[in-house]
Amino acid sequence: MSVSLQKSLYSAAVYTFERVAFLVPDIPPDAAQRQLPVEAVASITFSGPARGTLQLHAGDGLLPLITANMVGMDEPDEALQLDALGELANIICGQFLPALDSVSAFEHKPPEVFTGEAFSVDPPAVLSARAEIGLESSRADVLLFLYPDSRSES
Amino acid sequence: MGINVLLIDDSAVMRAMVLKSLQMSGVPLGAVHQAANGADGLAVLRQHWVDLILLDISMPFMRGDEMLEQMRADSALAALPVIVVSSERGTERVARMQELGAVHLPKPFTPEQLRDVVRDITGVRQ
Repeated sequence: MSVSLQKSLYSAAVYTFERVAFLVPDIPPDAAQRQLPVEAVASITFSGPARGTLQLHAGDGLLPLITANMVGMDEPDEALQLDALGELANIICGQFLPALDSVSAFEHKPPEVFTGEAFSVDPPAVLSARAEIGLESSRADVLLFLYPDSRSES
Repeated sequence: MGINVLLIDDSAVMRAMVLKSLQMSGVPLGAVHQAANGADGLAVLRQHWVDLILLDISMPFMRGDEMLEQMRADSALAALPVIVVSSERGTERVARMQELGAVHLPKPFTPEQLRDVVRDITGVRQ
């Protein structure tokens, strides 16, 4: 994994959680946060100067927390919670992509959100950076998968 | 008198967040209408007087750039101020929408940033 990509991924994720979900991240997450199961995953594929997927994994208990903070609602329904996770992933992706190439533009697709830990990425894509973040009593992981042949080193 | 706003985004969460930012920004608001895609947005424009549109790009049924193209081709809607609210940066779609007179406000943004863009594009101060 690239150290500089990892740093940029952390930076994009922390900025987004602070500015959009009004949560102050704990880095690294503590042992209890790490043990929480993943409740849902938001996945965004992008193309342009590099091709890949960014995934935001939400630990148990995170969805109602981020949704309440984002929309100011105490008991948001499940659809709204999954919508909130997708929007956070979307914003993290938009914040992060210039770190891959700050000159050319990327196109990214709308987020797809899955519940549970079942998700997949096409085999040629490799895990290139990962940001693990504690958020109050829960956690979030941001994973970047890149297709190795799609990125020109600059 | 406040400005009548149309929020167009397929995400209910984003519509709620943009509305909250508008309310916190101090921009004088009148009626606030909402739509989940460009086609529904055009339908709202046929029924209500709107002073400002905040428009997402990627949406099902009709994207924001497609809606803006249709608005600019319609003499009744051509001059309506549009703010493009999107996490996309520097894409051809954003550039095309800017060519059509829209102002791009990348996500995330603060209520103060939103207020400044609304003031610039509408001329409304208080």
